Amino acid sequence: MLLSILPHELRNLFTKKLKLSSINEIRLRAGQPVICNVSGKLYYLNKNGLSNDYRNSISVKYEDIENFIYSASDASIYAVNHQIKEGFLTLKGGYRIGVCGEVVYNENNEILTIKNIYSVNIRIPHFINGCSKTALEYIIDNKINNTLILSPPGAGKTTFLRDFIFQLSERKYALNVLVIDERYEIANIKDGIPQFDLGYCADIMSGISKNDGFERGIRTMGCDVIFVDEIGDDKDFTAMEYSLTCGVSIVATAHCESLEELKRKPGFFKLLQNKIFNRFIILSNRKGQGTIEGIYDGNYKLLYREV
Amino acid sequence: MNIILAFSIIIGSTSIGYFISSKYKLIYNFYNEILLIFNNIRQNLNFKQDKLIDIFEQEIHLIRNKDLFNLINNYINYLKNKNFEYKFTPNLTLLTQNENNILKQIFNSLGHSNLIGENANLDFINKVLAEPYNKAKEDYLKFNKLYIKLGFFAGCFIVIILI
Repeated sequence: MLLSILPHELRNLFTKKLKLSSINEIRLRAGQPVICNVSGKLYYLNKNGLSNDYRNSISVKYEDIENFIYSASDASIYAVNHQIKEGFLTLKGGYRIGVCGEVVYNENNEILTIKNIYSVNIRIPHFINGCSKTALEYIIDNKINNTLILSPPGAGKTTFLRDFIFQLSERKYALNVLVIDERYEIANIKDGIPQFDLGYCADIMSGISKNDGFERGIRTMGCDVIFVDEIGDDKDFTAMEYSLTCGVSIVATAHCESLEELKRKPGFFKLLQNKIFNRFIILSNRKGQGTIEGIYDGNYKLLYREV
Repeated sequence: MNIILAFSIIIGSTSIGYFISSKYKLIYNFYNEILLIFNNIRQNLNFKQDKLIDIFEQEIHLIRNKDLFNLINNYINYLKNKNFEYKFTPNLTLLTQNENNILKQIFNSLGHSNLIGENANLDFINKVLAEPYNKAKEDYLKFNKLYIKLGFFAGCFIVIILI
């Protein structure tokens, strides 16, 4: 799907010289060289493939990005505008495109759309079967501990979460798992079909706000664990506290590099004070994406660290 | 024998008149159906918000006009190929170059906006198409019978001369 909508030059390059699966991100900026992120390292693209030299690198025009977005929407911007308003677009195959341009507000100060999109960040998804297995034994004792997965952007949080969901909803545990996929990033449902296999006990609510997702999910789906990506809003915390009173476990992720940084984050203070989470997993890029920097318990005692 | 020949001449020339007038009927049907399609698109957009390709794939099965069927079929293929750096260009021999250009602008304007923009665009499309539709209807009512009558009278005229 992604290859068929990339600008011609990039399409040829990715067909003949490069493998999409080896790349984490492709960044297109109008009039600027195309940049690829491979395991945290940035490279330019030239006719021969990846390069450290910006000279002779391939660049894209504004029209290329405009056509790319139009193609990504299947020539139907109106059908994906709810995603564009949130700054992203999803494609079949689990690709996620972050968009940047001029935000248009209406008279009620609500975002109408993003116009003149001049830069996009294409994130190539990865499903690494078993990448969360090490962490599982620290998270599951008699029940699933409420767990917060922390990492800076691009360190494999969502990949980790995806595998975690898969492990819990598959045969061994077969728990009823509810995935609140607000930004279509975890399951990446496209035309009603999840683009990632999250196991056969996973129910997915896509495009719903976390607040609504928690409430509706608990009431209607009778789940054992709720998975949610990128929390950080006061409403998220209130909804999470509500779900805990219903006896449902939560596994969430947040952008953060360390526990110290988390403690300084506004909003999380109350969450930590109330000891809502009793496991913290910190990921980094130290030894490649998804390196477990540490698994901590609710008293911040280190339980495991990947050497 | 002469009576059969006279009938054949009259029927033949009336058929020629009918054949000439059928062009006006086709144009009228074309605009009639295309307006219906855009009306259905509006309904779909405001409720199901299906993508254009899905909407047109649903609509194409209901089209009876051959030229419109080909036009929509080509547009669906254009959407599937995703070569949007090239504009979709209708080339219907049934219509004038100016009318083809209008259709080109209409089809290339679809799907670029949010729901409010698409509704406004569909309003505009309706207005733009209303003019050729009215003209096609007027021509159809005017010329359809006229050419058939002309054919008939021409046949009668030939028969009289031959007699």
